[in-house]
Amino acid sequence: MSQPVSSLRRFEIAPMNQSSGSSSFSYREGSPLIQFEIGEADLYLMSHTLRMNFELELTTGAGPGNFPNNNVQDPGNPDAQVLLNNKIGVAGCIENITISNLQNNTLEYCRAYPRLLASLIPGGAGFGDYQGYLTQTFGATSNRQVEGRMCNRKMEVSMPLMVGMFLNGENIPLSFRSGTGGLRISIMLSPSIQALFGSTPALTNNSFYTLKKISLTGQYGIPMGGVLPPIKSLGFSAYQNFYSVINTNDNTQQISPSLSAVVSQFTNFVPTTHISSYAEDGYKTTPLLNTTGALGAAQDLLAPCDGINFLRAGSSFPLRFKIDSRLLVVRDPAAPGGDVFAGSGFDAQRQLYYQGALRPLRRTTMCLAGANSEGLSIANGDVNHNSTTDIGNNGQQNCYGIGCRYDAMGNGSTANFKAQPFSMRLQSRLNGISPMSAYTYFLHRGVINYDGNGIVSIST
Amino acid sequence: MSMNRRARPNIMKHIGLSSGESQSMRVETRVLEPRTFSQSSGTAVFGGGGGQVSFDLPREGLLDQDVFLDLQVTQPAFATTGAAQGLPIMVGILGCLQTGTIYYNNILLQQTTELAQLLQLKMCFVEQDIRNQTYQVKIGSFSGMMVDHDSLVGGGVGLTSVGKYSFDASSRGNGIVGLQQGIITAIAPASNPDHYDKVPDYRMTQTTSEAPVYSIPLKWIFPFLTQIQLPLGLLEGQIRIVFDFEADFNGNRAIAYSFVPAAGVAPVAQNWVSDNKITQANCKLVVDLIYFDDIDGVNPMERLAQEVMTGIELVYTDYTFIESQIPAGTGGANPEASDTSVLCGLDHQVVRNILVAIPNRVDHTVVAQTGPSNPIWGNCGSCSSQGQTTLQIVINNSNVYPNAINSDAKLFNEISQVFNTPQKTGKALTSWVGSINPALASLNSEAQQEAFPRDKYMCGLGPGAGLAVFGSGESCLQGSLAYYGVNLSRTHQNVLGAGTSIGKSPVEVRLTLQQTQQVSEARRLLIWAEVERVMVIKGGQIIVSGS
Repeated sequence: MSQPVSSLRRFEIAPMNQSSGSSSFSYREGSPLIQFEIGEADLYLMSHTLRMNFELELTTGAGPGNFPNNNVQDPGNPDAQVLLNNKIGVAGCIENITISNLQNNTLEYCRAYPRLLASLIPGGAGFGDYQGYLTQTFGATSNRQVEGRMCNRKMEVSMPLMVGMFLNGENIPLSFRSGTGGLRISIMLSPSIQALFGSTPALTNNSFYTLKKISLTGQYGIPMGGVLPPIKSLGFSAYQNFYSVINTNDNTQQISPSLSAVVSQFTNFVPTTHISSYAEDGYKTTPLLNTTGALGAAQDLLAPCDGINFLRAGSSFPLRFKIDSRLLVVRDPAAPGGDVFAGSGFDAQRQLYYQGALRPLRRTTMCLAGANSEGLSIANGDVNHNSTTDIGNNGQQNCYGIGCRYDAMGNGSTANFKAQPFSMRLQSRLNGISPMSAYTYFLHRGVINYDGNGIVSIST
Repeated sequence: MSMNRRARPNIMKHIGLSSGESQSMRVETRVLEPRTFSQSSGTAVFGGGGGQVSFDLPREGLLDQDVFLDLQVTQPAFATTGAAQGLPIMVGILGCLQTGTIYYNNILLQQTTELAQLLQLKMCFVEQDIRNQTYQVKIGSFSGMMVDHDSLVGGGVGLTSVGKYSFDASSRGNGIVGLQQGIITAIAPASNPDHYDKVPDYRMTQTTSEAPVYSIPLKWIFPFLTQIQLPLGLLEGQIRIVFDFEADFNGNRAIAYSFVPAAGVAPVAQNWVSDNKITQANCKLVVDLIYFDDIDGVNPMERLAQEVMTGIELVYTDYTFIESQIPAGTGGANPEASDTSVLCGLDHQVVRNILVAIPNRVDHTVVAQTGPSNPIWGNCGSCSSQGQTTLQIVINNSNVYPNAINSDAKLFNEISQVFNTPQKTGKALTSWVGSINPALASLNSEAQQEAFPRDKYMCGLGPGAGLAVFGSGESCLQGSLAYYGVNLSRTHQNVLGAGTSIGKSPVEVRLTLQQTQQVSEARRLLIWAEVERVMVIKGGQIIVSGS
């Protein structure tokens, strides 16, 4: 797909809505919207080079000038004052990203961006990556204690935007006549209470983050001959997100995505009470979890999923069978803490299809999910690498989700959900008093159509 | 360490092979003895000189990219100094190599200078998991990190190590094979969880029968080998590969390790000793040659020979090396900006990328454990500034960047584009960001925020009072792999003109560091430019452009 270029030219773009008085962006201490404009020109945007660069500082609830002091680095201080999710780092500060052209035609509206990354990044990166380049790109470490140290002071990142438009790293033509017609990238920041969490109410509550020195860098590709070749259509990818809540043990999610070319879909979960809470990490991708319903009881009791069906217009598709994990569910009424399903086996078939939905399996050379992250009985309690589920105060560090890929061969094939609703039947051991938020993402293809005068229509 | 993931070279595509002919291919491995070998003997203080080894390649078959140099280093003084000396921890056996050159008769085809430095840089682009699982065996290299979880107060500053990084050495069986926790040196074993060491199989020893022999893939050294196949059997002249060894100075081939007198006690510093010898008997070149058998009396090599007679044009790259220096700071309380501008020449060349390393300049007469550029890495590495670093490249009188790159994260992003894969080293190894005390104008580090513990030791290296940044446990790793690079290619394919054409004006590298109270050493400024060359094989002769 990527077109040849004759040479490259670097660019660095500042936010167009940056105030002359302050270059800071923040949900609390500044503007929560960051807008970049990439001009219309006879150039390619080399999307694999596109990076958003910034510095990020966290401030405790004690007010400006007070950095967190996580990890008991001074004796007497609690270990978790203000933290970011350790699997997505600074991306947790972004609520959604809109990609449009300069004529305000929206190409992609990527909602719940942090939860998208909470699946995508661990699905393709192991501890070695989290120890290495992910600290540079996202400030993510996959370890709660390292994240705590990093959150204590200024973080500096050069972050790719992992929206569908830029996912394949293609060269995007920018002219009106033969391209997108420039690009406007609007980044809406998350509320501080959603992005941050901790266990020290006096310091965690009212804590906030600030982004500084923001710029968008990348490269333009100059086309052969200096003019973009005429095109009739331009394909692009995008993510579409849907939010719902499940609570019952036999739940069918029905979504009408109205998308004509879906590549894959997946869903990740978190207890609804963990969203927008300074006390909980709202970006975890936990398994389904129960609570006892008692006042103040944590929602941390496993509610294994024992049947999954993917349907299109009421028929099983693309899997013609149910992912049946009933034999793996083990109930022990005498289990400590009321965690009666804790001894259940690991539903590897679900995880396999989920991993396949994130990226083609042949390209999945690394992932974070393993015995320690999923809290299996064979976990070795290793605290020296990625955080281990239920060791210390880590809680659920799972890389859990449900999904499947329609492009099973990884050759670009898609499924049509334009006039056919998508459904997912989920049978589980949820007890009806434990709401779980479900974030469903569709990766789909869209097309920009042109005539001799430029863009005629954009279809998804 | 070829990160560009280019397709394997295949000269036979010039003639095309039928499936039957492809099945007639066979690979033969030859073990070559050196044509010449020299190595100066060491002296007590200055060590030995460099020395050189050369190999003549056989004049038959096609040269495959799988060519390996076998090397072994011994230290005859082992019995008297204990196991208190060994290969630099990351660069391993590569620390012995200064320059690699390939000649065709007297024509220089490719030369790579400051090999050890360049290969440690390239190693940073290999996945940590691959390094952890293979590099200790290939080249004696250890560089993987784990999360330290030691909540004991140590380091003399009343701090824990929770959330810091340490070498991935564990007594629990989940660290790097070849590293262990708790025992230092053969002559003074002591159990201590604050110490990491190599297991005996990976240590430098006194005799050739005990020391490990490492095997270095030459495709790491010569990009050449991954780009073209030389038809050795069709050349009228001789292909010769020559390696110049690094001088036997403190921090090059070996660094001084320490031993621990008792559990819970900081290691005792040892001085480096010379006479770290490269074993001639085990210095060999292992070469894979490709042959084709006759099919119905016809051999594809005959068709290739006809093609070679009329001329084959091949594109490859070579590294041009430039060295300059960055002066030391005064070490005063206020940071000082240190501007360096280097003219690299390169006029009328096509440059694919520029790589930069800035290791500390060292005094080779110092034999103390803290003498090398970095106590743990030895003389390889690249020492980051504690303040803002900026980089600008000027080509054909125009700035490559609209604004100079002005943050460590952007610098990481730029060098990552050279190899088309992210640099696989964490923020802690490339930067001081997040570890600087915001309350101090001096930009001094904040002990509890440093990314590596001051009270943990790798092979007992860097022993100190636990208060200074350098010479204090693993804290000397912070910002120690801050390499810089600029991609100048429009594609990562090996095609003619992929890079940027340089005109008459020289390429200029402008680097600004902040010299601070804690990090103010003079640096070497090492610059490699990967430039395009064209090789024409015609009538059994090789002609190359630009060299």
